[in-house]
Amino acid sequence: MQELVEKNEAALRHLMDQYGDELLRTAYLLLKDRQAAEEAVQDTFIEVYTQISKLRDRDKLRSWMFRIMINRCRMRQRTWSWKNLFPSSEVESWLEDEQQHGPEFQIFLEWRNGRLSDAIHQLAYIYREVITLYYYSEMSIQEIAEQLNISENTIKARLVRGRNQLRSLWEKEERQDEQGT
Amino acid sequence: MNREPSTSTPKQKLDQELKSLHFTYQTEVLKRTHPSSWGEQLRMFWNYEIEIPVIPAAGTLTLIAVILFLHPWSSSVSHNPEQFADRGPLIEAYGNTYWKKDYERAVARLEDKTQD
Repeated sequence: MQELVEKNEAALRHLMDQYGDELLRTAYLLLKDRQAAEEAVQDTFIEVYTQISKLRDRDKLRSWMFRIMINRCRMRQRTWSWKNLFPSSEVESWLEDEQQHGPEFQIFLEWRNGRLSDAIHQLAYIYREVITLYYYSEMSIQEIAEQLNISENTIKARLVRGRNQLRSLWEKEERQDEQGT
Repeated sequence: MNREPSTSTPKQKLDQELKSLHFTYQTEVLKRTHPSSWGEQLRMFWNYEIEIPVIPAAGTLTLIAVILFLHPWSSSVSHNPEQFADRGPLIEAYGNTYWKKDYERAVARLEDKTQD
């Protein structure tokens, strides 16, 4: 960390080796495009390198990098769709359905012929974002709320709706499988 | 039926699916953070990002717009002292204020009329 503050090139290489793949895969889940994800992560590392002196708590390096990467992905996403970044007014109504690891959790693991990542790509950005951060980056709801600067209730609501949409996709795939056999 | 290998968490499943994805832009990052050639330095300068705080920037732009909007009005009613320098000082007569030369011209005109 100190070496990074001192602008050591080897420290930056080490940082990219350590976090590059994880950030890239998360960015890919968010952006659905390999090149855009690579560019978002590239910009993330450049910003981390140039702004590292502003990071006061060294233990939060990973969290800070994720925040930068998420913002980069949002910037890229905004260029083609503003509406996906705004929550719908009905989101709050799903709060009551929020449960810890319901049946959808199992669906995640038993995804059939199709790939789970492809299914996540079919979600709207706001749901893809929380599903990715919760299930892939394994952040808590509180952490996601801090990263995205929105309330925990909204995160919970988006998780519920994202999971419901994934379940619908899974059921659709199941039906197609049954018709195919 | 084509089931995926058994995994215990969604993260493991996604990692399994995305295992071919590796970050390959290390060189591009280093070119930007440690430019070695003149071209790379120019590119770094060209791509330099600046942050502009929205509220102060918008406030400044609004202020400039207001000033530009009001400027023609204020200039049309402005009283430039040099503009009236050839009209002499202000004098008071019968409770009103006049430019001295204007007053004298008006008085002379009245005198001419009365002589006619």
